[in-house]
Amino acid sequence: MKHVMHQRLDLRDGSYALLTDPTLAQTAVIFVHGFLGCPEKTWILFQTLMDSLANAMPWWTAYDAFFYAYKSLQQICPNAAALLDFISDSYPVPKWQKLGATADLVNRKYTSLILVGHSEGAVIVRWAILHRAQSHTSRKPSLVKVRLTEDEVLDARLKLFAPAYWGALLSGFPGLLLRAPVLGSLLRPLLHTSAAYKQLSETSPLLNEIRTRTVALAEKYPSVRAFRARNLFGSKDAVISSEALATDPPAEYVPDHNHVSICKPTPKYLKPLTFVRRDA
Amino acid sequence: MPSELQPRYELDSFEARVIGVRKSRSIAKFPRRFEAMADVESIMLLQLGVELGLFPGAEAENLLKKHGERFFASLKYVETHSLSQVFGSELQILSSGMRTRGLSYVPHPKKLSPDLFDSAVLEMLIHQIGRDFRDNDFTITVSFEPSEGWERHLKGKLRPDVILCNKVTRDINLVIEQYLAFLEHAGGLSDLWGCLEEGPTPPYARDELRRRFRAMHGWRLDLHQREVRKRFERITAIFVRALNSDEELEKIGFDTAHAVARIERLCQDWSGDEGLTLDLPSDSKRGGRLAA
Repeated sequence: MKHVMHQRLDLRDGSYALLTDPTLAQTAVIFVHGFLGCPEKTWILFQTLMDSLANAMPWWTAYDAFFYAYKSLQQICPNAAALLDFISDSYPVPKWQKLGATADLVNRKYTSLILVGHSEGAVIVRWAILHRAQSHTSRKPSLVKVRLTEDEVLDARLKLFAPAYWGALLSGFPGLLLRAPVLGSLLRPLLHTSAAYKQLSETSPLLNEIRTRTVALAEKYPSVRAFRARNLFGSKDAVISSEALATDPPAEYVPDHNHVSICKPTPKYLKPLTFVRRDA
Repeated sequence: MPSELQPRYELDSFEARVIGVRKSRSIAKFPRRFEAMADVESIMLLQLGVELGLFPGAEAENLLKKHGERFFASLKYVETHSLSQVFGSELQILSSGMRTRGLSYVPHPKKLSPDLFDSAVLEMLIHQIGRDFRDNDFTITVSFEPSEGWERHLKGKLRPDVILCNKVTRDINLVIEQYLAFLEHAGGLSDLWGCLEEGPTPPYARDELRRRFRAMHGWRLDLHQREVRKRFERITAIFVRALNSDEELEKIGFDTAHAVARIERLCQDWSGDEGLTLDLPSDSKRGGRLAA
């Protein structure tokens, strides 16, 4: 297989893409970071290992990787709607101008889509899928199945790292401060202005809605691929409940990885690169 | 009003938590000095508990007698090793009283009546000292450790997730874990003093009680001692610098200047010194976020 290096293309609002040779590009992979995450650091080393390990993982040469940026403190539903716009602008034919690219690019048309989310990003991906499905389910019942099956976005493969659809705690320094009430009391009022923080609580009605509706749709329309996701968890995750939805394939667990490290490949930890693979 | 609920339980709990096992990973390094000071603090707290009606007098006396040999030895150690200034006049009162009366309750010249206080708050104050700050590691690290050993504690990279997972190694992560535990302890005490201020307790009684608590408990982090203060400031600087450079906190809009002000306020409350300010390096001082 021809060895190509992905080229970086900056898109609007901090998002960016790593583009392969246009003649090879078949798959669009859209990465969605989590709460307080960032399109660079959340996925650190994906950007370089997809090229440096191309001999061992040649499928990456057929992938264009889009690293989506959004304001993760804000409400989940509008963020999901904005992600859906981004997906529609990227797949199957990227609308570069709408995506904010300034470079003059050769057109490409993808034949498959992979949506990758981490933590809150996984919740947003699933809500975006529900949002997309809703545009069909409100139509005539006899047409719904056909429309859902024909929708290219709903044929996406969902690959989710440590999804937070059962609720999430905070990690890092915010988590440490919250554990210490004396200093946590300075942080808590700031977090309570974040809609996403509240919506990611264990008892969140929104998360319940996402779980219930996704499971119901997956049961009713088993042939629609995007209603089911593959889920990968670190066995040392102390931030979320590590469980897939009832209609998803069984969750996978990686020993010695936590909530942060689960989605960061290294030369010694290649699972994220293979997990995202289209046919995996 | 004094509590009539389970006084014996309170005393048993006090014996188990305060006098009994003292957990510490590094206590073995300084056994005599530390144990002696902790014992003297225990005796003073026991006496205060009887005075305030929290512990039954006769049974508290039995407890004193049970540990009598150890207590007398500790008292003597503190008096003869230039540690007496730590406890101030409270040590003289206790020491002369116990020499005259033996192992029994020593009436305090400024006796406080239990009727002046909310007994629930008093119980919580005793619990706060007995329960939440008993593993002693922070005291050992900041107040007792010689300088070469102290420097070793600061090595390593501060990793909040390691602390959150309770898997700290013996480096800066352990120190910060202890530091945060101390801040919680100081914050807990501050809140309880705040409760007393809101209640009917007259100011003179409140101030006297606070002075005595500080005299018996303040040795665990004596911020008036130059070396202790320097170490505390250094740990604070490391912690605040890490907060300053954390991108997630920045996204949330967390201002570390507020954290520094809070820590400083806790130190003032803890030490009873309203003018106390922490001398921190410029990149961790209050005044807003600074570059990492």
